Amino acid sequence: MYDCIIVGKGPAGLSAALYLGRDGYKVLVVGLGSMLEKAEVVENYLGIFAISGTELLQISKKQVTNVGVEIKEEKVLNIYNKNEEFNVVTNIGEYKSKCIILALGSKKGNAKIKNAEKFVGKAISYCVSCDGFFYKDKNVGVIGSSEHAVEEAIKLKNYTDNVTIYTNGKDMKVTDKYIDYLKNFNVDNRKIEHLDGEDELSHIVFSEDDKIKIDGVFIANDTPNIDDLSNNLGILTEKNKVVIDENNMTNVKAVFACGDMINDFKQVSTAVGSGAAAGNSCIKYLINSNLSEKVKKL
Amino acid sequence: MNIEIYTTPTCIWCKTAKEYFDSKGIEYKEYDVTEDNEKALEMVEKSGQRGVPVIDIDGNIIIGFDKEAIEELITEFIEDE
Repeated sequence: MYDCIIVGKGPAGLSAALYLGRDGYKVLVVGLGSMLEKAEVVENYLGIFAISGTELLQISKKQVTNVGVEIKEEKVLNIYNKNEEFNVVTNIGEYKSKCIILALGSKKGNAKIKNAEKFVGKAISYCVSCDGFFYKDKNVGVIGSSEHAVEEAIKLKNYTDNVTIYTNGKDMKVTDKYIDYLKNFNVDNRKIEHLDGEDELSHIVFSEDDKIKIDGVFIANDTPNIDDLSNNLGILTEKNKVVIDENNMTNVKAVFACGDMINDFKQVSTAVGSGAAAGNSCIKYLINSNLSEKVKKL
Repeated sequence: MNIEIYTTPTCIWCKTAKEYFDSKGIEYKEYDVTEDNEKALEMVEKSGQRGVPVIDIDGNIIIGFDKEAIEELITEFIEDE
């Protein structure tokens, strides 16, 4: 069990990790990549004349692993709260913690399916946990081609046996953990032209002469973003930003947020600053909630 | 003010909505649509869709936990009182 799992390994997440790690907490940083990798040169970070984003990240990672923090290059698919513990499900494994710091960066764009937004709530949903019940014994599809699609299809099996994964022209890309699960589902690799229906979605259209009838579709973005993760945790967002209090805590107890998810001015410096604040608030939370093993030993 | 919430047990936004009303000390009626088929149909009829939660505040239908819309209706009610 980790004291804290930090989701996202850009400057905000690593900054939070540095504060927790230096204070001796057991910390995991997990995620795939960072926007900073794309910065050819950073010239506005105080104290450093010029450095590439990749090099700045490499130094930062070395600095946090040096104080005992673990870093894993894995895609986070789901975070859920059970018995006052958090479970973070990735494409490789599952990890538990006492609290969570979200540092996922700006919302990543996922491929749009034509007409998907038009039918939200009308046989299209982004949340099996919320709306799966309405598709009991129906013919349903999950649109997606990653482990996230398999996770959603598994949840749908609780309601119906008739679940197909539609990859929209892509090949399924899943880790070993999901290969066996995938055998339980039909996979359709055809490219989707658009979704069709009158009041409600009724068909997936592949081409003018090629369409299938469907009762419901769940969309599973290949890289789950904050909206997807918040459907499991219930984290409030406003204008594409996560809502936090003065301690960087979200509306969900023990879940903090920092970096581009909360900042209007998206810079390395502001990410590092808010990461430090979130890390510090998390330490205070662990101590005040009597969840800190270090304090218990005193 | 009459408030009805249509929920499913696994929907986190339903829980968030209920916690919101609880924190304000506002009473509401909850219908678990997985247990009550009649209420499930009623919810679809009222809201024209199948996403939960659906919140009915004196006949005003709110789909999802739309805090701003809820607050607007509640404030109006408190001001009218």
